Amino acid sequence: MSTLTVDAIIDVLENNLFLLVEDADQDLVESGQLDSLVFVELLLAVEQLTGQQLAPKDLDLDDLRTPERIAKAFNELLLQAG
Amino acid sequence: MTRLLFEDVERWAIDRPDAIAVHDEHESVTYQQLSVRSNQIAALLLKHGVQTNDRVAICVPKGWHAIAAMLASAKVGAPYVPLDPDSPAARIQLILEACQPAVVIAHPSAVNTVSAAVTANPDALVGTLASAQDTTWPVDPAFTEADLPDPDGIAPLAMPDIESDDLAHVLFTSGSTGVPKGVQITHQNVISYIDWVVEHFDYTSDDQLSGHSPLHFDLSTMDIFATFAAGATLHPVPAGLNINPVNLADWIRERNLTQWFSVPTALNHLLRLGSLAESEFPALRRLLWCGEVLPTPTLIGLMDALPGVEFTNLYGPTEATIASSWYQVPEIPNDPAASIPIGVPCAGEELLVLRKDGHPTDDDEIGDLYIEGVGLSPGYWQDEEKTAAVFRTDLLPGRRIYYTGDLAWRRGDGQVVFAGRADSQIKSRGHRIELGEIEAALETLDAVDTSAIVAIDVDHLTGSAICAAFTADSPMKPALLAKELAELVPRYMLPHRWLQLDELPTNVNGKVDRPALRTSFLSMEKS
Repeated sequence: MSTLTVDAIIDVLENNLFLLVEDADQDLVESGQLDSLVFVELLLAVEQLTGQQLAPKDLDLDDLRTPERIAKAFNELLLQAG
Repeated sequence: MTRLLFEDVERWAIDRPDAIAVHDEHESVTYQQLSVRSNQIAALLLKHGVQTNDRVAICVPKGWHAIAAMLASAKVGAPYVPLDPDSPAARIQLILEACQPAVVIAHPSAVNTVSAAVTANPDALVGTLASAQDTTWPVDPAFTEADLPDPDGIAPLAMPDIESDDLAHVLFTSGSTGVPKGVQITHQNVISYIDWVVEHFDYTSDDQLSGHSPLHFDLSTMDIFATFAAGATLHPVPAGLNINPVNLADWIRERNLTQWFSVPTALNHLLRLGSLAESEFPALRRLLWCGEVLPTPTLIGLMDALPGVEFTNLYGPTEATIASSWYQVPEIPNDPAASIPIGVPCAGEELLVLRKDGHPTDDDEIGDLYIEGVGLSPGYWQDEEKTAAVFRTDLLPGRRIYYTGDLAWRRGDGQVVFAGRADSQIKSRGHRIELGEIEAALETLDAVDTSAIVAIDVDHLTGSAICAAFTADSPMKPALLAKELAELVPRYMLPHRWLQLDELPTNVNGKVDRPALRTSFLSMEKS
């Protein structure tokens, strides 16, 4: 099973979604960069990257604030997806 | 004379004082509480010298406090101007310079708005309805929650000295030259429409209605004022649910919503994230959308998942007040490629599909779509030229009709079908965007020499993608340009695709060859 590195998430955020990510701890919600649109596009990009369909239920805002937390949350989803 | 926008709340505050008017993320408030709080704010506005037809700008997150401020403005006869808290200060400044509010009511977190207000309107009073210690503004607030008068000590408010055809609010939308346009809406415009809604959809005081649209977007005026017309309960959708729409389905069920109304994007997300099968909505009776085309495959998926729910497409630009036509989908469409009609006019409205010379088109012939009737705005805020250009009185003798810029055709059964745009306005995730506004902003960046913005249709989930082609002296990182652009335009206007070129392609007339650019961006999608 594949795992996602923080660098891979930052790469998707910067190159697929054109967000400006300064570091892995940057609060993307506070800077207004992460909204439902970005979230869904991020989800699709990660699905494409990993070849797995994800069910991101029960993720809340705090799970998605920074690239590091996004990577952790998506890795847990990948684990569930098996 | 018909009623003014705040009067329904007053009626219910007397008849059913304990009925819940708004259940937002944090609390439930009754009609009586909403009436009392809006009286307090109205008294505060009067104390600060607000007069009939002054503007009150409101930049408060969606919830009962913002709604109380809107009602208060109406109670003193002052049109309110809702501002997008997420908009950059530069854009808010343009809006405030245009509408020159006497008062700006801002949330403690709306520092952008406050900074813009200080620059744009040095004479405006900028205050908050929250406590003073929560604010970290560049100026001291002119008033805070502590200044709200004691409800028991307020003298009864006189009816404002306005008529129902005076302004209720001014809604600013994207402008093609880079300056947002203010659409003026009267009390009568809104009342005519919401009375149709309440009757047509058979609203009752038991209804639990979603409030998904942001307050600066005109769909929210249907959410709020149609709810109040019926004495029902409004449930503003919490901001957190807009980050991860997966949890939205649970919230719709928990709140026992009887109606969901939004732009199609939220519906696409709901369906795409697949939580509908396990999350039935037993209370849901109606699902309505407006603002852009709902892809037919999404509609089919939703109708499959939600049997027993009525699905209705509403259509209409802000200039004609919320919506002007409706189409109830009679059954699950067989063909995923079929167009869903925008339908037939709401009461008091007329849809006209005309040729350039003003003659009606034949059935099935594409023409320009015009709207006539009770929803038509008096025009754009202090802009007679733009008003005269689209609110036409010259095309059909004795009639005032609004040129939507949409193309359409009329089917043999009378249903009107949308057929695209005649200009470069697009809808992206429910937002109405003039590509010219983005281009004007991009051209001002130091790093960019020349630029052109085009839109392409990518897939049924994301709809139109905004594409920026540009030239620059050195290789530029799109994310850096996006950051600079975000200082000038809202995030929903930021391009989704970027392409740096040595020079922009031109056509035989020497103008930017936009079709060629669209082809370039489309070929990038396929590669």
